[in-house]
Amino acid sequence: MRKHFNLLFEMTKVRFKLRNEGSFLGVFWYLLGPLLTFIILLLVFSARLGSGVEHYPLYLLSGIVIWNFFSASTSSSLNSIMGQAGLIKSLPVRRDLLVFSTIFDAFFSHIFELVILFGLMAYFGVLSKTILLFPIILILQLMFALGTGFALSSLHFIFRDLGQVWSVLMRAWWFVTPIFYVLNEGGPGEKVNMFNPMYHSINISRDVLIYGKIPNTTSLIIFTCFAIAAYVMGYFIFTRISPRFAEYI
Amino acid sequence: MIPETVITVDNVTKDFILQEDETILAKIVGKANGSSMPRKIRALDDISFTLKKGEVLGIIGRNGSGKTTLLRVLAGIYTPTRGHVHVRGKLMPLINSSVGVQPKLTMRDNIYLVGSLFGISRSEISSKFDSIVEFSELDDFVDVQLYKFSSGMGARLFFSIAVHLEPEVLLLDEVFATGDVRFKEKSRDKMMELVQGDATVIMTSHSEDFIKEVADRIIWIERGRVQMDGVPEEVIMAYKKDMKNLRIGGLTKKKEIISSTKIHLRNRVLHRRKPLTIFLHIPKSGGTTIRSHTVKNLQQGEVLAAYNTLLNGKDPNVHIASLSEEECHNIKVIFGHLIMFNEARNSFAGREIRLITFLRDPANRIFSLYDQYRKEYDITGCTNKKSLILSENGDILQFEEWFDKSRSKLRIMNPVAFALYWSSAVDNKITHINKAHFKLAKKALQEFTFVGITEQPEDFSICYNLLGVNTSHVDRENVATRSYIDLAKSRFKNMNELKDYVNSSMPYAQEFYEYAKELNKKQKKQLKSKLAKSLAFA
Repeated sequence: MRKHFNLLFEMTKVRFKLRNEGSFLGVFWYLLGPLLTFIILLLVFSARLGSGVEHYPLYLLSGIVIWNFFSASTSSSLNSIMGQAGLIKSLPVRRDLLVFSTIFDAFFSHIFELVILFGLMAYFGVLSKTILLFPIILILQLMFALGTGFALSSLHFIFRDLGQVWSVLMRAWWFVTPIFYVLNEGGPGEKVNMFNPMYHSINISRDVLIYGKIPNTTSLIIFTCFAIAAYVMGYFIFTRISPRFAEYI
Repeated sequence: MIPETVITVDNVTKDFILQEDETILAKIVGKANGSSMPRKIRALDDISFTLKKGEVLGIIGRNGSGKTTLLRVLAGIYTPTRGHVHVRGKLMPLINSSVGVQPKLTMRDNIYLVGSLFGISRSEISSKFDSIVEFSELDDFVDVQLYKFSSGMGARLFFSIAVHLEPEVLLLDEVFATGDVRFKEKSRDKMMELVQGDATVIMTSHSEDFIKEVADRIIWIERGRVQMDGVPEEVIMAYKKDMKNLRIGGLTKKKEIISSTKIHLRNRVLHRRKPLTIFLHIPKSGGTTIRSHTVKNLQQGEVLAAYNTLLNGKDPNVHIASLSEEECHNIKVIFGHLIMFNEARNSFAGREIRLITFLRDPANRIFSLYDQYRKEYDITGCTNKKSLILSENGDILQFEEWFDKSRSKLRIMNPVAFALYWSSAVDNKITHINKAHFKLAKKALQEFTFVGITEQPEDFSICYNLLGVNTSHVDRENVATRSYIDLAKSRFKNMNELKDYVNSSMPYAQEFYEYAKELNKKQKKQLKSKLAKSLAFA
């Protein structure tokens, strides 16, 4: 077991190094994407959609950051195994470590994003004790990402064009989720978003971070269920397909 | 103390399924259409063996026989479709040199990474770090990024890491193919060290000599099955023998008559050559027609005869595509016979192809020409010095020798023509030709490939005989029958003309007549075709 942790640590380290290799400000480039999105959307919408929202910049940034973690981790995990074809075919490595390392790597970068978010929160003076509840939410989000990552990386073997499908899906999903807008109470958007795990994830994060409230119970329960289900199902799919990885590549 | 069994392979079978629909859309469409059975490839078929601790096993076999698949199953990379594998001890598979290595990272990072991939803890790697670097002799490159290494350096590094991490079972897949002599020696020594230290090794190699030295036991795998399992010398000998057979073999039993008017080949491919194209530039009123034919696989010992009834009584220019323009100047067709001048002989000297001037006896008039040509061009008239002459009393003489002695009334034959005549002579029951001569001719035929250009279609039937075909074979009969009869029909409008021709001293007339008669008789008995009836000789 110990050696698995060791390998995981090494692999995550390697991924992190690779992503930021050659550039001193490597991590910075990773952050630049969401930051730019944030600035642009802020400028465009703060006067209109954002006018009625309390702490719109924080509302926006939190949505972007949390979404970004999900999006980046799942996209990179999609190709995590196919991309390491040579490794899979030559050494008996535990396959799930590859996915773990990819998502943990994204997670580390996510920490940096969160730091910026917290910085902004401090600037607006909204730091409160409920932040201490955030780590729990973070773990749930991690579980959700892992489950999705497992499912995607293994299904990629069966559906070779899953990458394309997933990126289109992500785009649509981004618009459905209220990241830069607010849902109308009792409107159709709310009904649809009940089924959207990312909505709940962002919702409870915002509650805890920005509004200093205990997270919305419904959202919390729904999201917890999603996270556990995703992890269990994803891992199940993964273990079913992974013995055949070396052959399918 | 009995060494314990370290590796057990128990009736292992491994099938691979070839997936056809890969994209989502294709799968949906496929399901809607009713999916077809995917193809299965059986890479390993019921393989069983055991290895004791400290044994060194070599695995040999042709490419694609399943060696790497077997190693992968042993390593746990593939799960067997049937059967199971049991390996005891720390397993280190080196199936690909420098796998898992990240080119953009430095050597130091890679050592740690690869070490972890092999399941070694950081502290252990740190302790062995220096000796790893030393063994690979890459001390100066510790902080250099790996993409800057050459492939040999990378392989050395990888092997060095693997070997230092104290494997108990080592799987090597052609690891020693690359690397310079010194590295090979070093790695061999290190491996010996490991082996003496009770490590079990399985290695694959194509270098039989190397494996003979190192292995205690060799398994020969062919097409996923264990062909032989035992003492290195024996297995390697059997393996080498088999490989040799494959090279010479490939005999197919099919015989193809493409058409009686075209090239007749026998499908016995010994080795493939470049395609040979023969062009005949046939002078015609109003211009030149070019008839060409490309032979794809000219085989050793093959006689290729091309013929063309449209020579219009004129002599075409011959151009053989694999020769240069100049070389082709030295080949002429005169009166339907191919004459090759001395200079041209050299073009063929180093090659397997010999041009034969005639497939049958040359006309008398050739000799007068020969005389003339000889003075002008210094020709031999036959293809090469090996041309043999059968004199009337059964002696074999060199062509020139013969020519000086006497002319015209003797039969001139080069080895090919000789064999041709002999085989047809057997049919026609002419017995005065010595069998020894025939053997000699046949030997010559086996050494060289002959290309003949002739106007006479009946020479084809002779080609059959040349290759040792049973002369009573039906195909040959048909070809011969058709050709003779067609020729007869095309040349002579009625019986009288034929009789005139036969009674003249025109070349081959007698043979022609005899042969046609012979065939006719047979035909009357066997085939009773219309054609035979129409040519009813007395």
